[in-house]
Amino acid sequence: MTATRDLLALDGLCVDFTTAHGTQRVVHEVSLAVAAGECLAVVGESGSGKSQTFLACLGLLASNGCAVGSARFAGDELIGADSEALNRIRGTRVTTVFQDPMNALTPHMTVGSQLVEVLTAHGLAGERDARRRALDALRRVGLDDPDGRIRQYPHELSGGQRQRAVIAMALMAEPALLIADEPTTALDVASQAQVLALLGGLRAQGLAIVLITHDLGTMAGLADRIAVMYGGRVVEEGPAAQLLAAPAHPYTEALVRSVPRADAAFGQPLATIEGQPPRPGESLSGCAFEPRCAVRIARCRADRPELRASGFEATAACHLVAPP
Amino acid sequence: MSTPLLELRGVSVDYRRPGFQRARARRYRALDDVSFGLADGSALGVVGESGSGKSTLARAVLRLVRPSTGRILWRGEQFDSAPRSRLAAIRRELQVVFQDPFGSLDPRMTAAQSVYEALEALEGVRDAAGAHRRVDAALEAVGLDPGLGRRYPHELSGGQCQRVAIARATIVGPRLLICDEVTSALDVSVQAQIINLLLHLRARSGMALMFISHNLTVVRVLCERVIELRAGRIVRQGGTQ
Amino acid sequence: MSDALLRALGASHGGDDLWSAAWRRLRGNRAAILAAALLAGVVVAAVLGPSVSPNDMESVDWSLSPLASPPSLANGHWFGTDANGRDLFVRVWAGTRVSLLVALLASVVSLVIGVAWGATAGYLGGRVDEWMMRLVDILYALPYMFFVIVLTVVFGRSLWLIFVAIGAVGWLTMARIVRGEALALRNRGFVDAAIALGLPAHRIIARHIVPNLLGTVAVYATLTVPQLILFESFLSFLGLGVQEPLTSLGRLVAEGALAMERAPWQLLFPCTVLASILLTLNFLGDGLRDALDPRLT
Repeated sequence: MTATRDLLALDGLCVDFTTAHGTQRVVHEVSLAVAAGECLAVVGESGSGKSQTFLACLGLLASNGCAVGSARFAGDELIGADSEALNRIRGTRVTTVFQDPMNALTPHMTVGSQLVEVLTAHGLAGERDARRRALDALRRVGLDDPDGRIRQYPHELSGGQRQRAVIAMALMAEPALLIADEPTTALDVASQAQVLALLGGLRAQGLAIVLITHDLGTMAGLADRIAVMYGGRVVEEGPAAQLLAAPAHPYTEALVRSVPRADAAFGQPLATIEGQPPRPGESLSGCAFEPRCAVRIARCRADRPELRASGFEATAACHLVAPP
Repeated sequence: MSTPLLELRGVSVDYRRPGFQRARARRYRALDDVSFGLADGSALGVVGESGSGKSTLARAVLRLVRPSTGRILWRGEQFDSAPRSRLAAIRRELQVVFQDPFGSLDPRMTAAQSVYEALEALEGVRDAAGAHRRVDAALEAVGLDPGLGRRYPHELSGGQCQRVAIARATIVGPRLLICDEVTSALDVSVQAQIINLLLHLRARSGMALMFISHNLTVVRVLCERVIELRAGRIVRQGGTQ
Repeated sequence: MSDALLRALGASHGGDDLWSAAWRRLRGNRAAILAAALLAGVVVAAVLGPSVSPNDMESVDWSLSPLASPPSLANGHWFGTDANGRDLFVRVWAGTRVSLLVALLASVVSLVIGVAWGATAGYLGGRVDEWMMRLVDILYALPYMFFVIVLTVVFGRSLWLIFVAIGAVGWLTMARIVRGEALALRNRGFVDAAIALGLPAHRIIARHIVPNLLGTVAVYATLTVPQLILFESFLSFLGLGVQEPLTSLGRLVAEGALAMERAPWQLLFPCTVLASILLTLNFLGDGLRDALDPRLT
């Protein structure tokens, strides 16, 4: 099913964690693909396993985590690869941006030296060349006064500026794929818009992006395809415009409805999804969304629906989805 | 017009930045000459980018930080000069919920214990059994099963923790609830639940609300009026519709 | 990064507080459990040892020639005898009792003072913190040996003096560590929430600051005890420690050092016991630190 042109291809990926309470599976049989130059948005609530899926691909799981299945980057298998092979890919061909920029930036090093370090540590460029490219990267992400920023420390920048610096760091080695995990969640609305516009511009220049988020509202216009995760599984996947306009899975539909609209009226309760998502690792028979589903039928509790075609190049895991 | 519940007149708050510069250079004005009034039962939104002074405003009202100039009045009475006993009464009427759901609960106390402490501190407890019943009722009022009260914050989700914080703040029935970015750390789907909860609580008790957020859409749903802060100053005041 | 997920994974259905989670982690730490077992063994021996042996601390066994005789199972002197013909087995365990008791009691005192001092200074901050910690710095700078010697000269040698001297040493480090943690805790949201509830400072310190410090305190308390045992041993070694008829591990080591060449057993046994106590306490302290660290899952 995965085309050979896919840059990143996940096939039946599972992630297990071993805790004092036994082994729990938090990601079940995820199969996704990202083509070169494409933006895939992975949407889900906290605990849906969306972050763990991609941490597993990069070998960044916590020590008690274990990935099973396949994740190929440009044909090379990532799961189970040794750290040398992973280090060649991480930071150079696949880079990451996380939610809190202060977790990526070392407080006691200047912004410039951290950008330069990306190239010099991988042996990709000499000091002087790296500095020139650092200035370029800062310009590319739209930070004003690059020469000044190079010498500043992370705490001297605002939240939005720091996130841009982190994105600049991620671009230093000219990666093919950028994995952004909730990059705008910690920012205020104005900075959010700026960072999203920046990502959109980068995608237009040919960078493939995986955008992990809990907020459907932020990635409209940026994503080419959307994958919705719930309870550790992909429950719907398809072209962005199609999915947002006519969601096939009840969860997706509820998510779309619960995005606060710009024309919201004072005192009008927002559309919500009653109840709580399942706890990670909770094993359930039947559909994970069934307790909260507005259109559930008897079959949903006992019988877990598999992903089936729900439209053009789209799939959804719901018994009520009629094949086109 | 009747006396506003809460009023600020020309309030400024200066912070001192740590460092070896001269005293004047170290001073950083977080709030600059802020004046507004909040009527009983009304809802006021406070918006602005990060660093605009929104949180400092909340902290000043709660007396977590001292204003350098200006006056803060509660029911027409100045805060600073209020005697001890009056302060306790004001606290019963003025409560707060903060942004970080996990950070605002003591990790060593169960949810129920945190809510109980509020009851103890603000009203005093003479009848322990009755107090426990009130704690259970408060948890139910925010949409939580009372059984969850036995859990510690790290065993609850962000949304659940925030509900506990709201229960703690509203158990004594305050007249004004200050919400400082209470939904910013939550998933969008959970945000909607908390917003609806606040709407419900306001409708039920007529409680006033000061809702601080950087999200204008959410503010519009909860509040009739809004003030916008930038670099510590009010740059816009008005209705939200 | 994956905090929320790992938190949710680790949680059971209510009542899983940090102490039971820490206890579970500690149980899984082999080195710490072994250390705890060995330490328990030493304590049991110290309590029961003297009653098990046919001899007692004071009486001289005139039947031996020379008086200082090596360990033998035959004559009932399982650790041998010292230069005065007194049974070493009983003396070692009696000395262990004294060393442990003094160190434990002094630890408790220094813990209480250190935690109260440090938590108050850290929480109140500002000038109060400055002056309180300045006092700690001054006391730190005092040369302790001179201090103890002067006290001995003025007040004569007594067990209480040892307590005071040792206790005065122990609380300083604890105060510094606790103050650092309290400073960090002060900025946490739940402290703001407690202030907003109108709780007075002493209640916030007692109810919210100190309980959240207990992890660190427990670790450093286990590491303070060996420090104090060593200090007491050092004092005894110098002749400033406990007086006859009491003895302590330090005194025994001092006496044994003098007879090292002719009667090595006199040094060997007290040293081994002392080293075991110090080692096991350090391992236990390390294990506690790992178990109580909330960042490790």
